Amino acid sequence: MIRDRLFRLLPFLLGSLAIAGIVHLVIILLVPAVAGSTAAARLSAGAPANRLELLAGGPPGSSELPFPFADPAMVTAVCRFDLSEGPVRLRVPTADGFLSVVVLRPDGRVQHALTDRAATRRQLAIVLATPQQLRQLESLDPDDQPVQDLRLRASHPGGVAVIRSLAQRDAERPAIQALLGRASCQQD
Amino acid sequence: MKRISTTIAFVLMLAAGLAGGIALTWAVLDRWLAPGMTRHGRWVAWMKAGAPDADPYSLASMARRGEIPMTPSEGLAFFASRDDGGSELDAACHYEIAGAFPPARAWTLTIYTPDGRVRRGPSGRSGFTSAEALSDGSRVAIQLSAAPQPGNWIPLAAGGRMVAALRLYDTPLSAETAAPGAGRLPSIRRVTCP
Repeated sequence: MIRDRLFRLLPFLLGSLAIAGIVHLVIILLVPAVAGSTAAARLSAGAPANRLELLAGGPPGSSELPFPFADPAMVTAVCRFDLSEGPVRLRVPTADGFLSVVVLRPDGRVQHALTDRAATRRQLAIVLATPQQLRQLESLDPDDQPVQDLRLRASHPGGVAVIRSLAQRDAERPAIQALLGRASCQQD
Repeated sequence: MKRISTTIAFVLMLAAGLAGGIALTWAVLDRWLAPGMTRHGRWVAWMKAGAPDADPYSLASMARRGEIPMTPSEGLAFFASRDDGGSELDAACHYEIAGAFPPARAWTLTIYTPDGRVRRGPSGRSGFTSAEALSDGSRVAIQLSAAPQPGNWIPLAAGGRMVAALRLYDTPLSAETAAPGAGRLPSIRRVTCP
């Protein structure tokens, strides 16, 4: 009798499990797109496009971070870029300390990441472009000169570039802030 | 009668599936150990989160916490929410994080609240960088305690859970080649606990 009833319930139990699995996968896949809270979305909310902004990170002693689990020793600048009207150029001066540039898609996926080791003459000169704009740039390149810029292919026409530089001591912070203050992000 | 009970079972199946799926997702995203993570002793790392081919679980975790992951070209980030004995880190206790820190151009050790804000004690310090920490040869020992300690001391304010993060910038270690063994990352020893 009990076995009979269980037997009749079995398809429903299996059905519940299957639905739970599908719901789980759908949520996991949708979270980055829907969560307006991705770091990329939050950092770029309200920010003007193609302009570099130095994030204060709060005065010493405060507990403000530019985003959760950010390294408080880092000085951070962000640029929300929009390639719909042409490639965007990033110029970042580098010093002796660690510095990185990370290009994020709006859903938070990292597209490109490079550090000051890629700098030439103490500067990272980056051009962000869509595949189409890249082809255009390449067709305009002179044949006899090497390209000076680091050209990065953006599969999305928009996103956020996050520039971070390490201030190992609090005393170094003003100098690093001044360094990132000299960085620029603008339409090419 | 039979048709009604079938309908009820069907509705229950849908409800149970939906609730189960949401609960499962919540549990996975809320844990400090999710698919896509690797463990090294008490330290865990999302090795793939910052890579262009990041897996959906790492991406969802990062999105939910609003975090920007450390990318492989920048270095490696490790997080610990428990001590070597397996108990959750509690700001009311005294811990010693010590050992030979892995080779890197620079490292930082930071103490966070579970939601990713920095815990600052009365003196304002929430962590150490490799340039700030006093070392004994290659060995570094950092004290986490509410009461002042000699040497490298991170003052803890109030009680509550906390998360330690160790970041290695420009490290020769990489996710693929030399994932450090448990012995090569600093230990997290509970000294006293009230």
